[in-house]
Amino acid sequence: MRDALRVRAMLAVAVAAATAVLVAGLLLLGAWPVDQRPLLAQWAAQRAPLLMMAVLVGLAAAAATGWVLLVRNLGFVPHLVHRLELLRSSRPDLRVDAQGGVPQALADAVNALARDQAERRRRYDDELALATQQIEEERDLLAAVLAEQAAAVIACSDAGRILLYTPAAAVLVQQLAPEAYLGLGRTVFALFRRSAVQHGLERLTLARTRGVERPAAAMVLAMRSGALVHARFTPLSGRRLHGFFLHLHAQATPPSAGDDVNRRGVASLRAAVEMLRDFPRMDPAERTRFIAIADEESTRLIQAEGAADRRWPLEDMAGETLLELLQTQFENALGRPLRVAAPDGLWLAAESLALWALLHDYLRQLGADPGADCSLMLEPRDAHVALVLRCPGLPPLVQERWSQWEQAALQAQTLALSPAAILRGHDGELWQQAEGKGFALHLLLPRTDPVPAATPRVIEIAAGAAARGADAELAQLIYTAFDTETTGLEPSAGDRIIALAGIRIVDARIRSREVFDSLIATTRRIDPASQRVHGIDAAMLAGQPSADETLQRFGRFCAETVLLGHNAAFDRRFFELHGDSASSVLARPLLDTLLLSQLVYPQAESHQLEAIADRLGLSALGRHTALGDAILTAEVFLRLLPLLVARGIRTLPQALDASRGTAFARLRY
Amino acid sequence: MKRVLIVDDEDNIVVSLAFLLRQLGCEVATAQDGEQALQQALAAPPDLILLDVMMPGLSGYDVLQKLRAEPRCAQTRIVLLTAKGRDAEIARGRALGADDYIVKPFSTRALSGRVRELLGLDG
Repeated sequence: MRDALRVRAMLAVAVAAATAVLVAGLLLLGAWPVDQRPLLAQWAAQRAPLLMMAVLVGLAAAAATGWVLLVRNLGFVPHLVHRLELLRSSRPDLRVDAQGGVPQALADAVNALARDQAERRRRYDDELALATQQIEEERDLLAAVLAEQAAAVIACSDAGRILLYTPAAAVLVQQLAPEAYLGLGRTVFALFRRSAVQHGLERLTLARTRGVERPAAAMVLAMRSGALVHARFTPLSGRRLHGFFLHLHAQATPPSAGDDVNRRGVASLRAAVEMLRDFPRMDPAERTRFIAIADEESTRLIQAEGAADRRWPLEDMAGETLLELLQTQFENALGRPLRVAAPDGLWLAAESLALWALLHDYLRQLGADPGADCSLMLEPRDAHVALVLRCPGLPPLVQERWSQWEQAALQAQTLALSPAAILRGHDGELWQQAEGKGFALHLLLPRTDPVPAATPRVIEIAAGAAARGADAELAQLIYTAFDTETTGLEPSAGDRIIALAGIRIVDARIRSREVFDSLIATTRRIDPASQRVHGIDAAMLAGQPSADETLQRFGRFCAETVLLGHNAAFDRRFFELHGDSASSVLARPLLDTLLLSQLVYPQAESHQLEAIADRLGLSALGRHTALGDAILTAEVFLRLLPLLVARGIRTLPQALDASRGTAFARLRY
Repeated sequence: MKRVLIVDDEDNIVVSLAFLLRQLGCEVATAQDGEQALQQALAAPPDLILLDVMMPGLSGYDVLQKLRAEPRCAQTRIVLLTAKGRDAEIARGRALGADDYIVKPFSTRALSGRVRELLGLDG
């Protein structure tokens, strides 16, 4: 208060003095005798330079005084604004004091407001903490329940986005498709062929519209890695959530005789055979007896199996999938090419393992090298599908041999069934058929109907990429925060990346389980200065994957996400050195926390990651490893998000545009 | 000479086991069900009984219990033969006084080895 008064008083005095001088001067001039005015003018003209200088000095003095007064009274404003920003954004405990020209009254008013704000926030935080705690408890419970599940289950949204998955599912996917990533927010179509999943969903819809009490659709799904997995689709209907569950289990083996009756039979059989084996000098009567036992028991077993095959559970399979599987097995086992063809959209019920065993054994029976012209075709036949094998140049099995073969148990290890039994189990048939000069082996298998076109599609599958367009809020997007360590700071002089790490942000939360962390081998020497920072030496890099390989893997890890880096132009330059291998990484949109920080704190002196973290109230522990820095970058970004929104930067295009305008954006390496 | 009683309702396996044990130098008797087994064992307690669990009428467990209640058979080693291998069943057998168990289908060489141990026969 007193400051303000003093200032005003000084100003008033100054103005009054100036006015007084001016008035006095004018009066003097006015009072000057008229006849002497020309004299005055002459006098003035004679001393013009002096007068001029006096005027100038006077003006300068006035300006200087004005400036000093201004600075002293208003110079505090930028500093105050900066302090207010800090107070509002990240340091609510900050108080403004009457320093640097800040009027005490203003300081007091600001502090009072800050206290009020702090109080209100405390109350809000308390309520929020309580609500959060409840949610955390429920989440913990859910996580515990999921962890308990021995079953491999994946929950997906209508659009095929992964919502949840059990640890068993992660393990199974890792076993069957080591190159694939199972993670929240990822698309399930990166794991399974779209057509297969779609088929399953259509069957599920059909089951639901038919009013089946617990609708489900079971089938064999092909993973993109080529592995087959048995999957069951069930609906996911929450209050607001709609989608489906995928229950998975690894490829099934055909049902084996595990029950007691058969084991006892096997025991008798085995014992008899072992007596024959271990006591070759037994007398002939005993030998005959044991052989008879072996015969009797094995026959009994085969009959028991024959009864079992009618219970064989078959599952839906796409024609193309079956052919691919058979083709792979054929080419691996026989070293000969196999041409395959199937019309689109043909589905059948099959146990692929059994069919392969059968075909393989048949080819063995034919004896000769099948040649380079073999083909395996799927041909629709009304309610059935014919799997037709043609090997031109090979004669068929003669009738006697055919009958024998058809009824005899296959030599395959996992199967003790005859070809006839296998086809019976499929509710099908097999035979050799003459075709012009040659012949073909026909296997008739049941066709599983595609959903008739009249049924409306209830579940829609959106196109693979995020349906969220340019309008999506920043907080809704999925990010991969990343960081690299390098041999040195000069990419153009030969320095290279030696570590690359990334971590995902989904729904504005860091997913600590979805992490990428790799050291990278290089022939380049590691600059001692850099080594002091990251601690990586050449010994640690021995045996590590190459940069090309790692970048390709990382490209898959960060697919469909926005990349987040700190001073990312630096990292980007290193990626560009690897051309094609880095193409999928370079194609991702990229946000730089260095540029974003500059947008939010234009006045700040340092935009180093540590400095920003400190300003935002984050601890910078665990720094200088690629993963540690990636995590810190993620945390910094999440704290900057609300500050960006407050500045009107809500969407990705806005963030990219705004970033381009900052000074740092013009840095080149 | 050691005396062995083989008890199993499946004729075919009895034939193999009897042959095997004779080759080991034992005197072999056989029984087809629990009643017969008890009669024979109580009349002339053998050194070893190979006893199938799943039989119609008296089960192997029943026979085992009855025999273990008889001081006359205190020296008799009893081995259960079972088509199931569940831990609970093995534990039950042990609890009732069986000396060992073998799960079908077994290797006759393995069985041979066990029998030799139990009977103290030379290898």
